[in-house]
Amino acid sequence: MPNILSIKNLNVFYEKFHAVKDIDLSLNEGEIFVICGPSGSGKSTLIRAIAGLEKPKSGEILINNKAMNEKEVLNKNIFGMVFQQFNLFPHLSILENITLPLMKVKKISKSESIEIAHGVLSKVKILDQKDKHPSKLSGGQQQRCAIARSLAMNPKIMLFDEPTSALDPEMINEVLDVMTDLASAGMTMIIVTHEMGFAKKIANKIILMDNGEIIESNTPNNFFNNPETERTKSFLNQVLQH
Amino acid sequence: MLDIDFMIEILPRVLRASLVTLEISFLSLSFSILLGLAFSMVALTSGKFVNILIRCFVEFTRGVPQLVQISIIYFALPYIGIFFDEFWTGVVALSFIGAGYTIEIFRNAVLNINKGQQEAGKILGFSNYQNLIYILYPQIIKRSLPPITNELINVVKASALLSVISVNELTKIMNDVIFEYFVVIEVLLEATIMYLLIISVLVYISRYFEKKLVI
Repeated sequence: MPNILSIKNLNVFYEKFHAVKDIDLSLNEGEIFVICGPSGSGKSTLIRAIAGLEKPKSGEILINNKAMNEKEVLNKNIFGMVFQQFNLFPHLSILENITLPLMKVKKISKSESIEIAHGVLSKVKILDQKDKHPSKLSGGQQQRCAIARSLAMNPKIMLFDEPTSALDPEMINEVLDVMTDLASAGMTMIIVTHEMGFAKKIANKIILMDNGEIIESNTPNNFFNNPETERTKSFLNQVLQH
Repeated sequence: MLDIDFMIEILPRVLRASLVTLEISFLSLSFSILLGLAFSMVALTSGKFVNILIRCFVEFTRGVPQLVQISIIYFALPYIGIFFDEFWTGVVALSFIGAGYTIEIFRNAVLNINKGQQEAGKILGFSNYQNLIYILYPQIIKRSLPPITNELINVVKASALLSVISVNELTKIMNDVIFEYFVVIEVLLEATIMYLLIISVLVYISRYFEKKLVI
């Protein structure tokens, strides 16, 4: 598969704090890339910088081997992003949450937007909720709506920033199932998650971050069964203890 | 004893004056809401320099006594070739005074909406401007109603200051009547009741909309 995203020497600072240090990574079309690590390790900052939400101090982001700045990345809807807190628009119905960006950004007609929205909502299995407002839905349903909203914009790569961390345990699986469906459909994805079982199942590549650096980059099999570094072993011990 | 007959006799004049007060308040508040929406939108989408200018305007309208501001507009506008009658001078003055508050009300309401929604909008491809128009402003209208109602009360009260530039509003007419007939208590009482009535009606309308609007 051709290379879709490569990142070279990416550095992100918050004021003086060096949050992401000299990160290189590369991703082929259809690959699932999982980022894990303790909180404060820079994994969210990394995915946000890729999305264009944080301005890197230096480094390059290449999409299909073409360098792009944040503006171009945002304007061309390269990425869809799913947040921990869903970030749906509370004043709009589920359907309108999806049709509004289609109509205003992509300038698609209303009837066609509704058709697209119906398509993505049935993909995430909440078509029956389309006329409700987000606050009337469960967390899992809201997150699936957020995924549908991103998908509707037809992004090249989907980014997930701890998509299940704000969910009640019984709702985590419904979101992970939708993500698994997406992966089987060939979507390229970058996922920041603490769900190690899910990561093991879905990932093509998995990295561990700490202090803004990549500590280990490996296949899921080796990462879990035969990690290269002591840091990975102790991280896995902590998260897999129970 | 109160002279009830006299109070009834002057009632038509007082009512006409109340209507002027109501007109000025309604127009001024409408303009200050429009100015507030426009300036807060500019402030939220522009850089430092524009924000400093808007900041200066806000500090000016909030820091300088309203009576002084009214005089400035009354005497300064003709200087730069703009002529309004007293009524419209009053509306312009109160609109600017009100805008100093509404800008901050709207700006704070936007800043209080969680940042995540704006980030989601940004990734979906919305410009800053589209984020404001489609995502943030529809949500702040309801939140802003209580402080806007307070502002409305302030505008009604500040309209009394326009008596100094001879706008025929309630306070001016009240003073005129007092000096024509040398009757004080009855006139003051009637004017006070009118102000309370005007404010109660406006507050009632505003509360009605507060309940009606749902997010």
